[in-house]
Amino acid sequence: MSETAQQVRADAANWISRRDGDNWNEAAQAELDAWLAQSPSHAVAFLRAEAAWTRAEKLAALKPQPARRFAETVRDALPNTVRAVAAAVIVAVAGMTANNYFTAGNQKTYSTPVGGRETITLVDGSQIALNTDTTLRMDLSGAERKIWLDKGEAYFHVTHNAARPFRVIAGNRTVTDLGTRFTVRRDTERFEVAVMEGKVAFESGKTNEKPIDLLPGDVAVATATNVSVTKKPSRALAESLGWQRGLLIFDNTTLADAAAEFNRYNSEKLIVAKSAAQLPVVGTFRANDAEAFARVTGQVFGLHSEKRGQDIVITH
Amino acid sequence: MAETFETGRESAPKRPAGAGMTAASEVSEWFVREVLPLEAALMQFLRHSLRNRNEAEDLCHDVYVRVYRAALKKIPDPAKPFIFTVARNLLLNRVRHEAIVSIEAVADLEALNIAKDEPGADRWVIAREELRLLEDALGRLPRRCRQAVILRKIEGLSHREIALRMNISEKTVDRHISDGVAALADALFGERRPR
Repeated sequence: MSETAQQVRADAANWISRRDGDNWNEAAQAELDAWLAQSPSHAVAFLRAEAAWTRAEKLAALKPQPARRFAETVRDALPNTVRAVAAAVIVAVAGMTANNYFTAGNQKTYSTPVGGRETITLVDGSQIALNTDTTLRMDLSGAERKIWLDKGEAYFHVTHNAARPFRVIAGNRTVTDLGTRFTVRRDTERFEVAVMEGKVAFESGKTNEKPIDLLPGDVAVATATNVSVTKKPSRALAESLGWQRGLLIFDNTTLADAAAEFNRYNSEKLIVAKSAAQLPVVGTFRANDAEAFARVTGQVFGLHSEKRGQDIVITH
Repeated sequence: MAETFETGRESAPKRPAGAGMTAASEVSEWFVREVLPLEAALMQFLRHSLRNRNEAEDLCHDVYVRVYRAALKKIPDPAKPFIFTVARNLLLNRVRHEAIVSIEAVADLEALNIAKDEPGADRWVIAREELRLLEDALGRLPRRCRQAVILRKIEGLSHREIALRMNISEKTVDRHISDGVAALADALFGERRPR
């Protein structure tokens, strides 16, 4: 054996890093295969490095220092994200096909499929980011800028114009911008508005009810029977916007709720056994990779996950 | 180390892979599942006898190579006694040729009581422990290397995106990640310290 263990292990780490990078191709794979075939020494070193790198995924699953730091970087990066979005808008709008974009009269309809995400910029500079499985219509021709959120969730960064109110309408509920960044989410039974910046007026649709002013950090949740407003720390709000970057960020979310979030984004559904439903999940995950989520939580909690047709079933 | 020294149960170590052998993929899985978790105990044993860290690493790697080769013929079950027997034999081999360890230290294997096939601890505890190890290892990485690993594993950026974010070349990102992989492997498998 001419190579020392240190050398072979360093080589193996290099291979893992190369394969993990953006320039991996068939030629590189062939090179790696040849290297692995050269000697069992290479093979075991590679297995060891590969296993370590795979298991390091766990770093994203709990709340170690770096994850906390990451949550802060998300918060700090948000305005930048929005700015970056502006540059990407032309692409996003141009990329919309007849499937998810059509016009009826003055109304334009935009929609995203499950797992999709689109950002649109209006002529006034306002930006709307559509999350997964979302449909909205807009009519900008009148004295008011009107958006109807038919389903799903959208983030609004509105260029305020007192002369032309910007209203988001969901059924009988209305959110009127008063200079703002906010999100509106409409599920079957539930409606939610969260304000990141500025102020909105929220009308829950009950007759004889004055609009409620919502300020930064306010989250209003309306169900069929009642409306509640709570204050959320800005970090939590920033984390709830992780979807704009394709991320789901959990902070002591129950496994069942986390799975439900994933299920909004993916056609393969996560099903969590009752016995595991209450386990607390902390971490940052890619919204479109439910399988990785199942794997990592499985490792951390010692759970068993199994593919059943299209779905992934997580049990104790 | 030109000498091949098997455990005594096998005699012809160098044979190309072929029919009748265990599938390489099966051996790989077994290796990751059964052998790598024993590295901490193995290193403890080897260091106890060798004291020189690099030498212990070399020997640990040699043990892996031999165990892996043997497994290609037949996967040893249970794994632990087999691995420690290979380790002891390699140590003895070295003693004979290089006189660098004391026979007493090698004979200590049974006294160390680490070759028994004991049941694993609670998996949840192991997962917690592993996370602690990972965090420790991350904390010990050089700053830029740590940053690259965090961006990759926690933030999910690609190497190209990391290069842009850190304002360095993709090659440098590759190097940082490579260093990170090596350090994490040592932390996860090799450096389990007694609590």
